[in-house]
Amino acid sequence: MGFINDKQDLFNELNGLKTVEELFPKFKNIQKDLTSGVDSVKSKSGNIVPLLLDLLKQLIGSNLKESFDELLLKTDKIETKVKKTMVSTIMKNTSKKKDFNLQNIQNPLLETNVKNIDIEGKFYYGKAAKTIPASVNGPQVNIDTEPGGDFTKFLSDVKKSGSGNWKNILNVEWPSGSEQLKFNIDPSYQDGSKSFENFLTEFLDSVKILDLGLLLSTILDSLFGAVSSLTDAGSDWLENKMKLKELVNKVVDKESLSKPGEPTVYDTNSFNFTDDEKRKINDATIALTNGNNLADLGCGLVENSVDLRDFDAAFNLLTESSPSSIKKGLTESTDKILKKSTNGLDEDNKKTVGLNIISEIFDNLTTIIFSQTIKPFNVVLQQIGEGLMNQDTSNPSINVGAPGVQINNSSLEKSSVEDYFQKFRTLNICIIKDIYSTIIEFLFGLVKKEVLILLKVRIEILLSTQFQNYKLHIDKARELLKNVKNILSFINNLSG
Amino acid sequence: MSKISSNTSESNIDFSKAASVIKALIGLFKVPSLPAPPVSKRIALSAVLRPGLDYNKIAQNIISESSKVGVVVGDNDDGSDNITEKMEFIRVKAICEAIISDARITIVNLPGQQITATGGNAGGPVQVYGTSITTSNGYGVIS
Repeated sequence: MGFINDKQDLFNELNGLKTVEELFPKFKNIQKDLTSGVDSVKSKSGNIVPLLLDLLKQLIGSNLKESFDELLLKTDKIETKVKKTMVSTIMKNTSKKKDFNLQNIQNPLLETNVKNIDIEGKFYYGKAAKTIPASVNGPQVNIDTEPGGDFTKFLSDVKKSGSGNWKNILNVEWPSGSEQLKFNIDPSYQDGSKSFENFLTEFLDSVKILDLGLLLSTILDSLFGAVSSLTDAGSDWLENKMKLKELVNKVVDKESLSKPGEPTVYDTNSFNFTDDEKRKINDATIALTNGNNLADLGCGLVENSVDLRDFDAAFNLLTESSPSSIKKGLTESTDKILKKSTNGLDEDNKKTVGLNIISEIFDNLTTIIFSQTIKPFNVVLQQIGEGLMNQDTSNPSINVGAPGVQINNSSLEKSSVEDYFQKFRTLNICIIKDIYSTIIEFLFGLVKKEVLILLKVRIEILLSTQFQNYKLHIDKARELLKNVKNILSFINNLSG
Repeated sequence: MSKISSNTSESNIDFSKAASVIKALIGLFKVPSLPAPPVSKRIALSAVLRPGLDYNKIAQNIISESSKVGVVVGDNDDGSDNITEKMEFIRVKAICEAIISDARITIVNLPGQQITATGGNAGGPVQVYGTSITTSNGYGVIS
């Protein structure tokens, strides 16, 4: 109960502060809509994104969209943190010293089946680089440069050509018709001048994890199932996204509710779904497959789907954007989508629905950004790390190319996403924590900025009241002395 | 089984923990303490001539101020008494009576107060000038 009471106290403080200021006419910019019974206060979930959003709504009203745009400008910070976590976790897991030399490592560094690096099944199931052909008046969605993705596109090209070089870091062989790939470290890393850590850092620097241009498609998939519905990805792909969302929620919940300073302990059962969770995932997938909007638009889950064609213009705007203007393009695209999604509603509802969609995006952002790390570029690195850990590298003649982990793609019980999540759970938990805490820090910064404005007003009132009280004391004393003088004068007159 | 350590930011807030963030948020709302300027001795001396608490006057002031923020004052539209106004009198009266009869004031005189005293011994009267070196207590009533 302490957790919920603390949250309630937070809103009480805010409402108290606002009420005081409302009584002073000179402070006109204070929101009038006081709420203390918001759902996020009553929630037992450790995820406090909804709480911060509710606080922000109370403080800045409906300007959440601007906050979202502001966050997009800071995604580089998340990307840097995630990359650092990846390097440190691989180094830690492989127990390699920082200067561990690659000179004696024998190629291939990794030899594995495509299913072990293609967690989402795009290569394995032939769904890679799917581009929707243009149809008359139909939606055109291009997902061939998806997040993380230059490397995915590169692998797609290698599949056609049989081999390729990735930015003088990796040489990849993928014989035609085969499902086996070989990843060879570029000879430039074997001249003794570069360490294993150099290799990891330079490889991660060469890929873009958070491709903002395509972040929108993931957001739309999470909320509307838009992209999946427009491609032949099918319900499996959507179900994986819903499973990922549940897995991320489990981590956020456990981490957030654990005591500060104490490590959180996970076991292998931590990420198994209960029957209720399975049902929830299934329902969400069916809803999205049917085109229903999962965003709570203020009146429960709405049955009417948002017309997918409405997203067409927004996507075109993105695909036509140059890399330098992609952030601006994304901002304009979300503006357009919000506008189209709320078409036909009256002004009040339009505002509420728009606000709720942005809230949903914020609420799902940890999952959305995390999903960008389940791409071949990262899984290849993890597999290389596992391979090095499992091999006796004191003997340089040993071929270390065996895959460290076999991802189970054919299990009926567990999807490849669940399998990958569990097998690399230490890294995944660290990445989720990095993303979630950065989002919370960002939202906290926004709340802090607004609360400081309120407090500035409060202190001005306090100082002004103290000054008035002091003046009142002097006036009162002066009045009393005048009365005494009058009485004395009266007595003198009587005695005279 | 894996153990994940927490990551604390430079601001000492662990943004991955709900309790840490909520504690920091509540801390944001705490207004810094601003002591009021001390009342001068002359003003304090004039207190002896103050009229004392008058609950009727306080209640009247509250009703008068509340009308400025839109509270309906005076009799109700049907001519009946305004219960809210009556309640205001009852509330203020009860508070004033409690303060007058139950409140306790403790005064602490700080060391360093200048003192002048007279006394006597076999040699005759003695006058002493000095400062107090300890605190002393006093009590008072509110009227």
